[in-house]
Amino acid sequence: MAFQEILGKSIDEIEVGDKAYFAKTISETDVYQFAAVTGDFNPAHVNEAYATGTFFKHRIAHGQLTVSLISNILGTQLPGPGTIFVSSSVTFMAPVYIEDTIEAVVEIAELNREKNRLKFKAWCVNQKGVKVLESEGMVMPPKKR
Amino acid sequence: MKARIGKTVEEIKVGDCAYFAKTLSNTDMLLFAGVTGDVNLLPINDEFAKQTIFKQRVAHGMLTASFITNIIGMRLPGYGSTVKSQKVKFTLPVFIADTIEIGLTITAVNVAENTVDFSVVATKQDGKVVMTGSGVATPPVPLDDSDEEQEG
Repeated sequence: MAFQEILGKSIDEIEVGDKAYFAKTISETDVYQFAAVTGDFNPAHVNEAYATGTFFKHRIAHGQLTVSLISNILGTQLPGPGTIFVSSSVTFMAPVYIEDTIEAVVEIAELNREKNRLKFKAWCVNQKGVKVLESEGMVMPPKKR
Repeated sequence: MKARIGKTVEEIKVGDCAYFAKTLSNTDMLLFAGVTGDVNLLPINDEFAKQTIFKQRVAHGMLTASFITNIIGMRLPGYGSTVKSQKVKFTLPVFIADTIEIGLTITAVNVAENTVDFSVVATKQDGKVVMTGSGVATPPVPLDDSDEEQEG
């Protein structure tokens, strides 16, 4: 198996301004599985009785869970399979609750074809149109033979 | 229910440290792929990964970065904290069965804003650095009936 046909886009197939999207309803299962994998059982995420008394009023998803939806786009669509994550930064702007539907967007901001690296901008919006986070970062797209 | 919360901003000092270490399992990688929908071949396809320079499956970078939230939410500041912003840089690949230790250090405390700045370094079992980063977190605010206690 060569897998060349299922590799994502090489840097030569990408232009500045290219965009890709992914949307998902964040379930209780997602939050609890994420807590299990990371060991982060912060009551803000897994204790509704506690959360009721906080500023947020309900359990909120781990911010790192929401930002990982961007990793989905980078790893499956743009550039796609074979991509390597180099760095990223994120600012969280609003809480994400269980049952919120989050749309993540990645936009290509800068290309360095010589070094096979690109910079992206990304953001996530909830079902009400509220921006919940902004991010930027760098990845290495797959190289095709 | 009496709420136990982590350290408030007044209880945190520059230089405070906390650690979390975990051996990364295949289950972790598959659960992470399932939750995020990131089914990039490199973390989930053995045969594909063998043909890359890594020769084996590589964990999602965002999975390693996710262990930062463990320290923030469980240890320092602890229960009730939230992350405001975060930067990470991946320096080496992480493979299945690698044991990753994340060390977090408080670099600034802003009582007026109720925030703390932190730096993070992730190393694997051979001592090599796999990720570095920094960020800003909001420590918990005591609730009326809260019983301030650090859960470990």
